[in-house]
Amino acid sequence: MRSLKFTAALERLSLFHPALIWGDIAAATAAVWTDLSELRPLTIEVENLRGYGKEQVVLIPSLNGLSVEAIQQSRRTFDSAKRVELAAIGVTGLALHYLAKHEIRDVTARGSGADYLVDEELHRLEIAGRSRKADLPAAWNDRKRRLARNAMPYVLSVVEFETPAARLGFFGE
Amino acid sequence: MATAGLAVSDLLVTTKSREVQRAEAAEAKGDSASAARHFLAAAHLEFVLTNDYADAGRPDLSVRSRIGAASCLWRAGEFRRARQVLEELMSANGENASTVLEVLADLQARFPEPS
Repeated sequence: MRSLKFTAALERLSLFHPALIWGDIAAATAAVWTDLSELRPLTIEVENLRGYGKEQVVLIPSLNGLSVEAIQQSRRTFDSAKRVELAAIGVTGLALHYLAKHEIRDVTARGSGADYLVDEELHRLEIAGRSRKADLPAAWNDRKRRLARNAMPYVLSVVEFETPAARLGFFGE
Repeated sequence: MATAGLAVSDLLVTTKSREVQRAEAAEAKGDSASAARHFLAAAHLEFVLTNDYADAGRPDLSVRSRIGAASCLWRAGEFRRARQVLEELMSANGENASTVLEVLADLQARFPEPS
């Protein structure tokens, strides 16, 4: 399987997806990434993402432009579960841009969570974050099963921060 | 430029999205007064989008916005109104029932109504 590497610039999330606010998300992503024993690259298994195909992608984190104070503030402000949730959004935003210039256009509340719309076609995007590697397959399968009940195409992203690693896929078309 | 045809304003969608984000951030920080203000703002924008998406021929996004409005109302503490919106959605189209019940169960579990 081909593997591509990108330097993932967290500070540029607001340029990649200008409709959303990224300050808290970028800081939380940096906080979770730097909580690891070392700043490790994040490997993403990509499944059928339009404009990309089926590949393996490696994101190498770049914290340039983010202040240490903002990262520490994130640790003080958000509990660990919320930081992981925000970090999954950050990683997904980076991956969508670097893989095929996909853009998140919209976020709405859905129950206690949120869902997103991507690109001009407004495909639904669901994002999940997990702190443990073992929880990724179950989160992926549960969401895929639930989202498949609706006939509309969707993008699914699940990120775990133990390895760290992620799965990202486009389904339904 | 419009998001789903000329009937839907990009500016409205972006403002709504950012209000949802502000509300969630305030909620996570424990600032319930600020969270309620931003959730209420987002809910009202979702009501506008509900009709705009319907006019633009995107009933799926219209339903999504209505569920978004109800979710925002609930998280702002407007439980009765939120429940009413969800019940209307189920009455209007039975196909939405399982989704609406799932959202309602999630809201009740995470943000229970005060007894």
